[in-house]
Amino acid sequence: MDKVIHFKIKRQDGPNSQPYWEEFKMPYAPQHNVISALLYLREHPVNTRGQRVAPVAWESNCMEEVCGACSMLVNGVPRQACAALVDDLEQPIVLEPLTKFPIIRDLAVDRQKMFDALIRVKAWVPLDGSQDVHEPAPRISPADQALRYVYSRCMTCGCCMEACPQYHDHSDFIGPALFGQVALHNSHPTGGFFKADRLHALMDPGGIAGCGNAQNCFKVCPKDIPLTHAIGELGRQTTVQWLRDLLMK
Amino acid sequence: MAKQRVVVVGGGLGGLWATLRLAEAGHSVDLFSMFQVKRSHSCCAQGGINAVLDIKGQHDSIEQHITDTIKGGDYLGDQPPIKTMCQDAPGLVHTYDRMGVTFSRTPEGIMDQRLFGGVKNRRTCFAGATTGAQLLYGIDEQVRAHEGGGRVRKLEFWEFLSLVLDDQGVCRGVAALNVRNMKVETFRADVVLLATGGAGLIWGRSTMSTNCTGAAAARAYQQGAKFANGEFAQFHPTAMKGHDKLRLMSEACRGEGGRIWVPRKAGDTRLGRDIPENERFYFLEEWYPAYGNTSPRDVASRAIVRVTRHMGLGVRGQDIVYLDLTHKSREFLEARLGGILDMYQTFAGVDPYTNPMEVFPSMHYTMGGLWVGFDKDGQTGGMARISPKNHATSVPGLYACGECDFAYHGANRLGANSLLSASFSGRVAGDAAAAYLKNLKSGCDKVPDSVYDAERQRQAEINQALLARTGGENASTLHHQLGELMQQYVFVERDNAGLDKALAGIAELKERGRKISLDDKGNWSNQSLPWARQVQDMIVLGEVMTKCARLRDECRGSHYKAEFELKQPEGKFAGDPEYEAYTEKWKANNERWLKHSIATHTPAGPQVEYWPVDSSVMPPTKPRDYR
Amino acid sequence: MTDTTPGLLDRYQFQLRRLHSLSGIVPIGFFLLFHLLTNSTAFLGAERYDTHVQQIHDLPWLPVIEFLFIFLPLAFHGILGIAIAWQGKLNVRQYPYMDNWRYTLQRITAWITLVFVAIHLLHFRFAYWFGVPEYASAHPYFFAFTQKGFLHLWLPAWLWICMYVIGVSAAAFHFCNGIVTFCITWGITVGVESRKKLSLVAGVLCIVLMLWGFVSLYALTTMTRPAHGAAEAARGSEQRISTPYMARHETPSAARE
Repeated sequence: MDKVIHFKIKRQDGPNSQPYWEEFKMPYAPQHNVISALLYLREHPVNTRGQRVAPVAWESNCMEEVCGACSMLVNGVPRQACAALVDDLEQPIVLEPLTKFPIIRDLAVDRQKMFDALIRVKAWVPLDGSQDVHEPAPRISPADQALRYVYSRCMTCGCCMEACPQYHDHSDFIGPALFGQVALHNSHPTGGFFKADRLHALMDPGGIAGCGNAQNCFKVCPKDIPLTHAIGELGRQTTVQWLRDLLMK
Repeated sequence: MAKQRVVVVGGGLGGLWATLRLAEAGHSVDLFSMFQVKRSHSCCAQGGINAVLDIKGQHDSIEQHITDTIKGGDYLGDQPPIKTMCQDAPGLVHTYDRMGVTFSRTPEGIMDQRLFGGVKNRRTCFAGATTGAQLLYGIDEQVRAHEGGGRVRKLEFWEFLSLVLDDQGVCRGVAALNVRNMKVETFRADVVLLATGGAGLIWGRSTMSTNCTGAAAARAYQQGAKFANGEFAQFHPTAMKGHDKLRLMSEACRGEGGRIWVPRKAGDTRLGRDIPENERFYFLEEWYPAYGNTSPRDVASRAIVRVTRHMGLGVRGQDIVYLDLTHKSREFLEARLGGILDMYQTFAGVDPYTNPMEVFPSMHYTMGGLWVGFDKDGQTGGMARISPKNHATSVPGLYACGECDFAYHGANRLGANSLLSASFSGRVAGDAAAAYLKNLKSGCDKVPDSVYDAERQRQAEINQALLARTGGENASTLHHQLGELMQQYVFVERDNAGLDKALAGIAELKERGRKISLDDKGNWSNQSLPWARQVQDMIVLGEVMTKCARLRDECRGSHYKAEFELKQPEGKFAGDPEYEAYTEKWKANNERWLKHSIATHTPAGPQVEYWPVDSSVMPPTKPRDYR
Repeated sequence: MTDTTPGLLDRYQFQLRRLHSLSGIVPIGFFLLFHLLTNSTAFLGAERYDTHVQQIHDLPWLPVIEFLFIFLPLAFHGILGIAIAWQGKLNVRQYPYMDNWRYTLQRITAWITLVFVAIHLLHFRFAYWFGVPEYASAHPYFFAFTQKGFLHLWLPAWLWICMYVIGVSAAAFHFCNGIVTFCITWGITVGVESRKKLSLVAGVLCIVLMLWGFVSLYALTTMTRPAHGAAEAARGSEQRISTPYMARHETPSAARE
């Protein structure tokens, strides 16, 4: 092999197994990304010691950084592996699973708790039903829409959770991704009717009080979602809600 | 009757809509998906969703939307469902709006609309350049509310393996594989809905997500569900090249003013941006002045293949044309197409704001799919909105919606109609399944355990056999070879000799598929096992598509055989005797071929028959003309 | 964090965190500013310093004020702060962003400040537990008494000075960065831009506070400009400090003589 792509992958056979490192080399071709390379290795799962091994397990789907499936640490950075171009990466390319979620196998982790949290904060606009009511939602200004749009690009990929120092096994913190979702739904003209429910969920243990203002979430977000803005906004909303609860009940 | 249960397989727009409708109707739904439903392929749709709101003073009408959809599909779509879909579209997008979907707005705060291919009016609602993701999230949130309420149980990381059919051939549940612990289990259900999406991976690489194998539809087909119009696959004219995927550059790029061109001089070595205006060949604008760059996808794709492969004018002599947006301001592009252009920048490493993008047609959408029926409303001429016949497959108790069915798009899908049909069909199928449950005489609780045990046993044995085999074929290698055959012979242009070669190749792959062995023999999160099974099913479905293509000796929509092309007389229009003669020939051809091809599985391969098309809304009197 | 007192901390996590954030500003932050102000009068001369300290000592209900507005908030902020600090898993090596550095430093300076405040209290406020005369007993020669504390009590002067430089710096950073996080937590600054501007202001304030503290430290440890009666007082306090077994209630009258 002339030019190669060299991978160093942290593998783990199952949730309770010991992790180990395995290295792979494959022929270089331009415009590979990490997932397209893993697809190659699925067909040719031979490690650098020449052993044919079980192919690496990972999660991916859309291959264009919109579905959020392929989050992993690529050279230590949490990101969508499909958008990590081999030509831009230092080799050996080190792949590790996200550390803040239980490992399923190799690079695949279980992010269910993020989805459970979406239920907890009631991240939806309550409808009377999905039937046509012969009316759209109330009008929304282009400026409000612009902010809501950036929030609504969240893929629940988990990168922000990975980078958050407050989010880990021993903390009940709900994690940064949720704030964008609450801000999104609170800002909808009819979703806002149920603002108090979501704010109370955030005022429960593990809610917004768990934020330590490290602001890593915003930096690593592959969609540049202004999560810190959401946290500030919800800080304000919970302040008002708290005073309301104290003074108006 | 015991409490009725429903199984929905697939959590894209179609599956989620069906789930939502059923949950709202009070049913308990088991929603199966191979991954978290929020990651479904619907999220890849970029451009928008069509609905006539007529906010741009163009006097757009629902009739025009119906006409565009029918003509866009070259009359092959059953028209009553199309009519109802177009009528219900405005209400549907307003419902999405109520769900909080972040549609782009006009300065007055109402939903904005943009131009898309195949139409002349601005009819497409959009949310930046990630409309599909936004719609998916909107409906996902609604289903999540029901999940929180206990109505919906999500079985994510479960792969559908087969239907459980009782001795009457009625679908009574599913067998599914837990892709973590690799156990097969069966689930009782009174009705099953498949919403498992398209089958782009049969072409190896496509614009589709890596899980769009079509395997679920193939499995239902092999258990007796009929597969319709398999030969019709849409090739999107503008996709990026890639090892793993051909990333879509949305039609919105053209809708917002993007221009397609090649250098006039063959093999021009200059960078695209350095080639002066008068040396650029805007072939779509020249050949199809009425629609220009927003010509329908089949027309545009063929033009691109013609200019590159037949005229030798591809960029650097390759299968590449330019999609150029550089004449538009950065602000405009960022606001309207930012998401897609960022993606181009990420994956191509070239700035599309200052350089024309390099694109080529790619497999994009399967118009064909599981055959589903509809209930015609005698009064309106449309589809009865609630009827157990709608979206019912040929297997009793099995429904299909979304891209895995064959409805609405005929021989070619109109841009921004897929988000519409996925949503609408999911809604209709959910209502239809609820209606079916209401009429159901005997529920799955009456079916003996042995029926389920036998299916579980059968599936587990297939898995065991795969795990036990050694020294055989590699599933990924077979997949590549299938993709090569399809890309070469079942692409934008087809001919019978090539299709025969493809069929022979597929027959060989089918044989080799039985010898697949796995690199991973483990029983925990073994990804090789489901992949090997998917590849085998893709080969089966590939055969159906190729066989149907071989049998259809005409040109219709996305299916093009030069040998059978009815050439439009150049420079002649309606009224001219030459054009009238052409119209007559076209009508005669419709007599023979304006029919759905219906494939039925047999051990010897697909048996194909032809079923009539319901053309009652707008009978085919005039050929498509995009000049 | 719930290991020690699960019920209370859990149930009132939001309220406690808000009060924690608030207590850092009001009253602790205000007290810090006031304390720095009083201390820095040392730079204006021992007499000025003595006067201001005396004014404080003349406040009615002083022990109550001290308990309610200083000791109680400090204890609350400190104890809850310990619980909060344990929650974070620092990762600034992996994510070396400026804001993450500040997050990390906020926790490091919290520990330093906590230790420093304890030392500072023992050094001056509660030194009498170890037989040193009460601070109040220094009346009216507080400057001299304080200087003695730095120069001639328990540890070499350089060590005290080092400790105070570190402690004052940590407290200043913790307070100023705390203003920024306070404004995020309570939703006063929402946008990224407003936060940047506030951070800039807080950064300047931090430097000002540090310098302010150093000025006091400089004055209290090195200024020997004799004010009226200072020499005498110095002698007096030296004598008192060197007689640690003297009964506490006797010292004030001795000083007033």
